[in-house]
Amino acid sequence: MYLVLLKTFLKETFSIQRLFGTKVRQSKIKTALMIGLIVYAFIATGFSMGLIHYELAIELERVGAIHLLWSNVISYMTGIGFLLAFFQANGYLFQYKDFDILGPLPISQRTITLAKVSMMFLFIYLFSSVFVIPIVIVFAIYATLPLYIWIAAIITLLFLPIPMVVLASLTSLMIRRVTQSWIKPQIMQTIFTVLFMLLFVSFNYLQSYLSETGYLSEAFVEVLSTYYAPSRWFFGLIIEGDIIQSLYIMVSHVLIFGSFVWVMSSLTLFTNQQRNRLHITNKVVIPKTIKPILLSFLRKEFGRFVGTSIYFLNTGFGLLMLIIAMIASLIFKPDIDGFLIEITTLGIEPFWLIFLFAGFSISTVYTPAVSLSLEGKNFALLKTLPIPTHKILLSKVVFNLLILLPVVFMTSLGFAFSFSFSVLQTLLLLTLLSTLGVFVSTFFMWVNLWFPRFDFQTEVEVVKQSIGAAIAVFGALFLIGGSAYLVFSPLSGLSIEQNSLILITIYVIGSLVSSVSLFTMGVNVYDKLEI
Amino acid sequence: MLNIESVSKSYDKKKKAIDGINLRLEKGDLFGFVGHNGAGKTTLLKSIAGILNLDEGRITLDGVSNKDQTLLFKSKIAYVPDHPDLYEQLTGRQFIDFIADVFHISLEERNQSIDRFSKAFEMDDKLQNPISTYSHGMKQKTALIAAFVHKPSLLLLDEPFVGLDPKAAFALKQFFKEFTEQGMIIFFSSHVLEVVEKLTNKIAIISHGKIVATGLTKDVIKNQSLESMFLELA
Repeated sequence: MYLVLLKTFLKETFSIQRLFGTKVRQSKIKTALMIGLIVYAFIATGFSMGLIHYELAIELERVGAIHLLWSNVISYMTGIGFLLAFFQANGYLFQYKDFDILGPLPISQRTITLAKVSMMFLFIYLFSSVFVIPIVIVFAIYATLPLYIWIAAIITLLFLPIPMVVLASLTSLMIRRVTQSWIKPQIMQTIFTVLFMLLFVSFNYLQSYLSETGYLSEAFVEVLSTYYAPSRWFFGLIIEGDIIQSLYIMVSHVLIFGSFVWVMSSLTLFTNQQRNRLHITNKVVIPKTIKPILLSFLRKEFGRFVGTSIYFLNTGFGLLMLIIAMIASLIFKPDIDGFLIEITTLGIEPFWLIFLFAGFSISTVYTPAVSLSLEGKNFALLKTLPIPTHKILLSKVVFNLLILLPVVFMTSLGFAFSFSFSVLQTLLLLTLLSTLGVFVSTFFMWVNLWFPRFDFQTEVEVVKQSIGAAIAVFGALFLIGGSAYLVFSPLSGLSIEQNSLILITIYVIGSLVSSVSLFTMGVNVYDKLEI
Repeated sequence: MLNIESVSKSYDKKKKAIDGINLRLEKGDLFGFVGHNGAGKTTLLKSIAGILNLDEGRITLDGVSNKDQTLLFKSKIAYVPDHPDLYEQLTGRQFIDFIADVFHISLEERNQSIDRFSKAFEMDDKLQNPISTYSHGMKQKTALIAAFVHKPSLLLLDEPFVGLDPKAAFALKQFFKEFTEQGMIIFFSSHVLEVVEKLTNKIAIISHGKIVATGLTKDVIKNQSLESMFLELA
């Protein structure tokens, strides 16, 4: 029965339409673009990972510690396992959409849970392989291991994410259970999720800060090995060739996995049966005035943004990081002077460093690239309303700018103070980032019009896994990368002010072209969209 | 025989969605369940199907409890929700095959059944398309074929006529008659009172979670119409 379920889940999850969105086969250009993007994403990520670790391997080999490459492999396997499980446990386990199909079938809940967990692990393995395989290849270039150790190491790696997946699933469940009966549970879930992710990121930063190389240092691995037995066992396998240590991992992790599935079976049944048990209020809010359409739409966009934790976290985290970095720059202002001297010696102006960092953050605030898709089945309703199309598109762009520009303004001023920019440079930075924000925002809206995805089951499919989201982020990064190339290569002889004016001109022209076409041609594209 | 004894279920502490429901259906009964929106029809259907757990009471089918012998109970039933949320990326045929696999239906038997039911519902040339391309009515037909394919002892249907075209609705009524003659119990909810009145041999009217009238259709309605009876009681 497990295989019957797994076969069905695989067909449902890995269909071309599900992965690439609606009616992909009808357009050859879209199909080619998507295939190209996926190949590019895999090659770019894999190649970058390989290159970084190749450089690291040279250093590690010199000090006779090449085995430390595996600490990064362990970190990626467990870290990605944790993150994916944290965000997907609800959709896979605690409130799965096909409960009404599976509930009445004579399949034991344990079998259903095992199949669902298997799917979750499949995603973890697929995603982490992009990061892990290049590191393993680099290790293979520098070190030799007997074949049986290689086989044992690869098999053992598959077991490593298990404890983190268990921990992340339970944390995700705990947050949902705690907030479920509160007023505005979805907003509370978002707040708790953000706080938890900040904690997670802080831990990673702390780890990097403590490490001398920015990677996991020998000292850190020592700590990891001392306090985390599976890591010690894994190094036992790699360094000493002790296969028994690999068995320790497999047996202990199988026990954890078995217990997890056993406990989850009854827990998932309970949580799925209880999904209607929400906070119910009898309070009816009666509006006092009729609101303009744009304002009503902006309120709707805001409600979805803060009420969908995966949406908020993915499209708002860049802004949070920008604020945190700005605050950190103010707190550690005395240390910045030394840093400034260091990077100026390398020929990098702090102005451009801040621009690139803020630009990267802007590229992650891709709400217009997914918000139309997130209308889902309501898109049909939206199309029947007597509202001009341009107002719907405008509301999504304006909402993006409303969350983006205040943060960009505030952080630009903060960074300008920390890095002692002149008034002119501060104004230029503000203008640069604002025009970039408008350009990118209208571009994002276009992306959603080109790559809509209305037939999703969970928001994760649109926000994290849709082709539109990927094209939006990669497109914006390409624009910022192109800007950096201009500044550092052909225009490197020009001053900050001159370069800024050139980029501002490009962004303003880009914004104008993108906006005008969006509210003319884009309206036609919208009107032709079907669900 | 389906026996529902003192069944209660609540979603919050303030109010019971269904309260002390007692029903008894014999083999071959075609049972219509009517009530206003939010009366508790879907809650009872889902509770019987094992999608929701009960707060109180007991449900048995031929002596098999849906709580203590869950899998055995489920192997005897089929449930079609009011808005079937099927696996959108599968074809209709793949979905029906999935259900048939779960119930261990032989290839020969399933092919015969699928052929017969899909022709009756005019779905035979559409089952190879992905469910994501289906209309609501086509999804409903696919869910019905999947429910019929393993010949359950108890068929639970939530608003089965919604979205069906007249031909399919007629075919469904014919199947109801045929299945009940073979001893199947059919338990369906509907707002189409004329259909319930003409089709069923037993009915129940539920209002605010409680059964306000139940029994043989002719006894409950007496000389009135079901509509006037419903307006009076619900």
